[in-house]
Amino acid sequence: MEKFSYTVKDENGIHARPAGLIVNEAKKYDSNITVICKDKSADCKRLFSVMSLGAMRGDILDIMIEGRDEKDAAKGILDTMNKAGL
Amino acid sequence: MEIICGKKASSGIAEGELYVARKERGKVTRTKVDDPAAETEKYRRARTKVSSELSELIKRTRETVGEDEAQIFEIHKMMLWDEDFDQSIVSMIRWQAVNAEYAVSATADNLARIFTEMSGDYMKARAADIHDVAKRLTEALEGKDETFRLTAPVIIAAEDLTPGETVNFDKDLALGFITELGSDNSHSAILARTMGIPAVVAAGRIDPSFHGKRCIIDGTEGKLYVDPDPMTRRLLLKRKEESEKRAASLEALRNHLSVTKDGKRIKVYANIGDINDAKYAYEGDAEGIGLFRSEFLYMKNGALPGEEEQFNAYKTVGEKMGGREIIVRTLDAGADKQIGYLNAGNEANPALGLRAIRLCLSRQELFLTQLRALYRASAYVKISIMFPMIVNKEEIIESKKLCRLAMEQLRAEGVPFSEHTKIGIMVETPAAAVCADLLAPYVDFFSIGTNDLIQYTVAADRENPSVTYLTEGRIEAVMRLISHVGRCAGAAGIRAGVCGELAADPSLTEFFIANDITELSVPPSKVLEIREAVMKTDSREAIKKYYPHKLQKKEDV
Repeated sequence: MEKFSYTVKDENGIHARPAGLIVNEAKKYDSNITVICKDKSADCKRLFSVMSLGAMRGDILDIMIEGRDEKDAAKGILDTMNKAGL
Repeated sequence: MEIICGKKASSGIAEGELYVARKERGKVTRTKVDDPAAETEKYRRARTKVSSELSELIKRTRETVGEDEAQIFEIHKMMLWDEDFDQSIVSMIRWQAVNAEYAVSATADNLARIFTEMSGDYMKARAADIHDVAKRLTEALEGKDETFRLTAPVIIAAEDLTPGETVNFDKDLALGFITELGSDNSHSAILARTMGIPAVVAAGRIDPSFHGKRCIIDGTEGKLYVDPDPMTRRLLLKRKEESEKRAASLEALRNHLSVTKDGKRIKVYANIGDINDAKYAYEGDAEGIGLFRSEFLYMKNGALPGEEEQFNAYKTVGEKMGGREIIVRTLDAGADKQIGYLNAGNEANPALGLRAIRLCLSRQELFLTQLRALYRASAYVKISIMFPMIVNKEEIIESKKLCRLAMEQLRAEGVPFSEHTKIGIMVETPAAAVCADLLAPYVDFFSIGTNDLIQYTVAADRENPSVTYLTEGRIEAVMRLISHVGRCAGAAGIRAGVCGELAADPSLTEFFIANDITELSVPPSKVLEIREAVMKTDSREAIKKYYPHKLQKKEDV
């Protein structure tokens, strides 16, 4: 299992567009990808699930990835988040 | 008072109630269904339909408004295909046997609630996105065709008007158009110019709550005034009155020939894009049709039009024009006029790709059908055939071969046609313009399509706002090409005309006449204005004034 943490920097939080970027990236991989924020968890491949975390600036996201391509997935998702400045 | 600013697309001022074609979502009622499986199927079909609508919207928004706005619709599309959204709808239909409309709207309400309860205004606003998607779905489910029914004269506000949407409403009830997207080349803009009513495009979001409000649209400045204050209203109506006075004074020129002071006859024709437009051309007193864009026939039904349908269309337009000449441009698909089922494949650069005559010559069976229909119509009305996007003489020779084949077939079948049908080309590529003398011997006439000629000459997309400084105003390179084409035609003894936007600019009429242009094809509402410009011109003086390539003195440069 791969795991990393990420602090949200986007001033509007993980709203529709960033959630869309994460979901699109997550869907490229076989692995199960879960994101946990405060007391809620979400399936990274589901848009509404990710959006409904309501992650705001300063919140910490814990992302857990389990599966055959977990290493690639972890890198892909982290890159996407960094690139978009989320 | 609120003022909405956009791009001007058709001049004029009109006052009336605003009709927002995209209204707030209606109330969805809950009903019980007997066959949940069939209901689920219905929902899935609607989802596919909405998905392709959104793809189209994404594409158009990206082209005409911008990337950020397009991304909003990308999110809408993701929401539409979201598993949670889908599962909730499907299980509601299955386990509660409710109608799909209700399942969609209840699911959207539940999901939207998650966002409205969140902290942060931005997150709260996302609820609107979900409702937007649900609205599209319920509309598709209710089978609401997107054409709207008008009962009184109104100013129409819409996202964008597609040809499909405008064919079915009573155009006489439209006082003007304002669209959120679009460009001055989009369907609503061309239609408005044809009808002679004001239009504003690319206006950005129009609040649906403006529906039914008193408005004044100013197509000359590109503005819509919602609830104008008395002062603004007075000023605008005064300008409206002035332009109406001017139009009334032009009425005196109706039924006159367009002749210069020194007796040179110029044909002032009209451009049309639809059978119904012939009515405006006739009412506008056009002396013929200089450009009949035949694409609409191919866009209408989502399938190739048959020979019979085309024959009837060409014949009807000819009859509506009372026997005057109709120049039909053969299919000009591709580039900015994509027709789904004719897909040329994914081209990196469609404007320079398989379009217009190139497409027709690569799909000869399709081209032959159109040519047969045109020749058949020529037995009844005066048809001239014009090929778009010609680059060299080989394309003309190849196209004329097909014309001969069409004639031979008809002759063998004993079907009447006119042997004297004229064949011409659009001169809209720099290659054709520069070599006009080499092309002239193969055709009966030239028609200069200034819109494409400009964009290919200055290598700049007319729809791209960052480079409009290159495509607008007087462009010397294009003036020289027009001058060259006109003179080559004059020398070869063939007719040269101008269609495209420049033809309708009265300040250029003198220049055209000086350069052997004998036909000007303009939107129907501009015919009288151009006729006036022709009648004010003395061709001998025009030649003196515009003798081409007049070298400027060094110090002026």
